[in-house]
Order: sequence, then C-alpha cells, then structure tokens
Amino acid sequence: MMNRFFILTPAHQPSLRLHDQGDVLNPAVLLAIDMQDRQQIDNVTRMCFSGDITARFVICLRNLHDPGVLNEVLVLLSHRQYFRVFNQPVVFLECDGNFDSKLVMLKEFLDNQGFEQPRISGVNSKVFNSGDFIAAHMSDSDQVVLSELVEFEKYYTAYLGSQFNADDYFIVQPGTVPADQFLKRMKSLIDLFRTAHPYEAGLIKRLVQDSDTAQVETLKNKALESEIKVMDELARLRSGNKELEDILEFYHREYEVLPLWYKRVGHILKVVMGKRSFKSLFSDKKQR
Amino acid sequence: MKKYHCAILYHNYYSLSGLDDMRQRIGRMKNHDILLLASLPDKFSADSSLTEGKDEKILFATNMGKDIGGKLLLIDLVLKLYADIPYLVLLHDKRSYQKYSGGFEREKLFRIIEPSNFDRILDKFDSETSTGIVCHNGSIRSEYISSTNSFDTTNAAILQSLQTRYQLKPKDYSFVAGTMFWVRTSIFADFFGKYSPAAIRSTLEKGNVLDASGGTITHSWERLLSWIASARGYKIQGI
Repeated sequence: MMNRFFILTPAHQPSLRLHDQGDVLNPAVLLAIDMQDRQQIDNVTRMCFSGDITARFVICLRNLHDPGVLNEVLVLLSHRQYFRVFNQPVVFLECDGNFDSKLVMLKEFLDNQGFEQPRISGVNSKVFNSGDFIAAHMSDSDQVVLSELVEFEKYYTAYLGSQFNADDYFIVQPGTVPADQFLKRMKSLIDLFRTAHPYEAGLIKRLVQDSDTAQVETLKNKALESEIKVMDELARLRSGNKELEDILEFYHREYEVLPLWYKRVGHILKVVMGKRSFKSLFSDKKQR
Repeated sequence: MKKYHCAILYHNYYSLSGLDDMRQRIGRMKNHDILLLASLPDKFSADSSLTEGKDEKILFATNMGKDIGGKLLLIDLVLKLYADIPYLVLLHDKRSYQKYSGGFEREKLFRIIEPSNFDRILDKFDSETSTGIVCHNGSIRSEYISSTNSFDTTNAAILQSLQTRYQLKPKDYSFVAGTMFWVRTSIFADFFGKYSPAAIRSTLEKGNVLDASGGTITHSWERLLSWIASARGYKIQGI
C-alpha cells in the first residue's frame, strides 16, 4: 500500500465492488450521502448490510444541517467494513461556507457516541459537483483538487518522488473512467516509481508496513490496559462484597439450625437406605 | 430475504471466544432459522481472526453504556433492516467478575436459548398475545415501593426522570434483571420508532459503569427496556 485511495461513489450507484489491488493499492469506497434525503440514507444502509460492498468504505456527509439526522448513520459507522484508523472511523464532511458549525455538530455527535478521536476531513464541494474525473489530495495542511486524469498522474508521480506521506488521503471521482482502470493506472505509476527508485520504494513499503503493525500492537496494548483497569475495579468490588458470607449465612439459617433429633433421624434414614453403615453411627470419624 | 424465527442481539465484550460460544449455542437449535446480530467492542476491529457467518451481522460498538449501549445499537440495526423478524432475544456475555456466582448466573440466564426451551417460549408468545417478554423465571425483579411510589435502588431518581421523559408508566414495575430476554419486535419497533435508539445511546455513561454507590442512566435503562413492554399492557413471563 502506498497511499489510501477513496473512490467516490454516488449513493444511488448500485454496484459498489472494488477489486483488492494487493499490497500496492488498497482502495476504499467513499459513499457520499445527502443528509437531507432520508430515503438515500436508508438505501445506503441497506446496501452496506446486504453484502453489496466488498471493500472497506467510509461515508461523506453532504448537506448536513440537522444534528438529529446523524443518529441515522451510527450503524454505518459501526459496520464491520467501515474504514478506521486506530479503531476510530474516518468521516468526510462536505465543505462550504459554514464548515466549522458542521464540524462542531459532527464532533459532538461522535463524542456523545463514544468515539474518542475520530478523523474528520473536510472535502471541497467541488469534488461532488462535477460529473467528470476529479481527484483531491487531502493532507494535514492542504487540499489540492485536480480535474484531469493526466494532470493527476503527473501530480502523483511528482508527489511520490518528493513529498510522500503515508497518512495522506486521495479522494477520486473517476467520472467516465472506470474505477478499476483508474486503479490500474495508479498501480503502474507506483510500479514505475519502484523500478526507478527501488531503495526509496523499499523504505516507503517498510514504513507503511511497520506503521500498520505498530497500529495493531498499540491497539492491542490499549485494549489490554483498559481490560486490566476493568478487572481491577471488579476485583476490588468482589473483595468488598458479602456474597460469600450471605451464602454461608443462608446455609446456616436453612440447615445448621435444624434440631439435633432431626439430623439424627436423618443419619438413621441413611443407614436404612444403605447409604451409610450401621457401625459408622458409633464412630467418631467424620463422614465424607 | 430469508425468514428468520428470531434475531439474537448479542453484546460480546470480553473475548472473541464468547462469540464462538454463542455460535455453538445457536448451532444446537437445528430446526430454527436464527439471525445473530452481535456488537463487539471496537478493540476487536483490528483482529484478523474475526469472521462473519452468512446468518450473522457484526457491529463494532464504542464502550458506551456496557451491554445496554451495544444492545441499543443492535436494536437500531433491527429497526432499519430486520423489523419483520417477529422476536428478538437480548443477550450478552455476562461475567459479573465482581460476584462469586457470576458464571452460574450467566448459565441461568442463557437457559432462554436452550433448544428445549425454544419451542416453549414460542408457544408462550403464540398462546398468549399479552405476553410481551419471556425470560428466566429467577430474573424477574421489582424494586417498586408502593407506599412511597418510589424504587428501592440507587437508580430511583434517574428512573423517575426517565419515566417522565419517555412516558413509561407501567402498572407493574417488574423488570428482567440482567437484560436477557425474548421480546416481540413490534413492541420495540413502536417505542424506538418514536425515540431513536442511537439518541438514547448517546445519553449513556462511557466505560465500565457500576451502580453500587450511585445511580446510572445505563442501569436505569436495564429496567426501562422491560417497562417498554409493560407500559404497553404486555406481561413479562418467566420460564
């Protein structure tokens, strides 16, 4: 994997299959959902859970005005195939003039639902308002939008050789270019880079692999830490609770307080039933 | 779409072996089509050994409201996609490590999915339309004190406020302790159609909350989930 490519898919498009491109590209589907269209949200939910999506996916929220409607996408964010970084969902938000207010709305929703550090990226609305090819390079500091495939190929080639960052995202709306064909062209660019700069390519590959491994191990450690905290708390409660004493007291109240003659009749009954020897009645040894 | 007899809504917090255990229990019920909807903590999202069977849907849940948070998420999924399945079975991998009898309690509560009880429970629902919830007999409790119109629990104040907020005024305040029970889907569909399960989930406490020293919204919902049925005139039946 070099960078993460999100292939933008309009929510009404029926086919959402992407072929896994091995270790070079591991594309994810980006579903752009109009948050004012409840029917569209329902359709996308149905599609995602029917198994129509084979790749990992993320959602991009468009026209977000009502915070209440965010409740409708919680199951999508919890989907097994949803793309996460450090266990946290990546969510895209369409940008226009009032991005900040939408961002606050989304952050509050995600925080209230227990997502600790979700990754939210604003996407320029230009990406959605064109039927043609369009590609957006999303880095921490900037967002570059290109509208020609050839132009983007040049840009990505230069990017690989001069400013590569494994955490950068690329959102691509293939337009009339089929997604598979676009990914094939990206793969060939990466192969060219690998041939021309094998040492650098090797370093990048190791960086990405090590960073993935580190992520998984960090997550495992974090989970273990929180598990130990929970178990400590439960052990503390167990040491303080009286459950065992209550059981012993119940036993004493129900059985040990019975009159002696009742117990002695019980011993004789055991002898009669053959569960105890007659001789043992006169022995001081305890019965087992 | 396949017709299921019921959907099991299973919140699995501790380890993936809990999910395998649930799959085995479902496997023993050979004559019934059961959909397993499971919520797992997101700590398992990076676990490559996790698989999803054809009659299963797995969600990753953040650590909100313990099993109640996971179950609300699964109820949300049911409402969106599986509202035509007639019955839901709410379960979780209860361990109660704070008690010596935790393991014993879980087995007792899990009896509602033993093959010998499956038909008995379906018969109960079929024969008595007023049956809304079926659970293990020993798990029905009531904390209601009629003389003071209050509840004998640390959650009393929260319960009263939530009752007003969600208009849940049952005649009988019994509830299923442990939140493992069968319920008619239509009852939950009616209530959660009005009150979004995701919105309710956002009000729960984060992390592993306990109600020993003070009330919690999470533990209050343990009671309210039963009252959703009884407030609509349905009965809670034990087996």
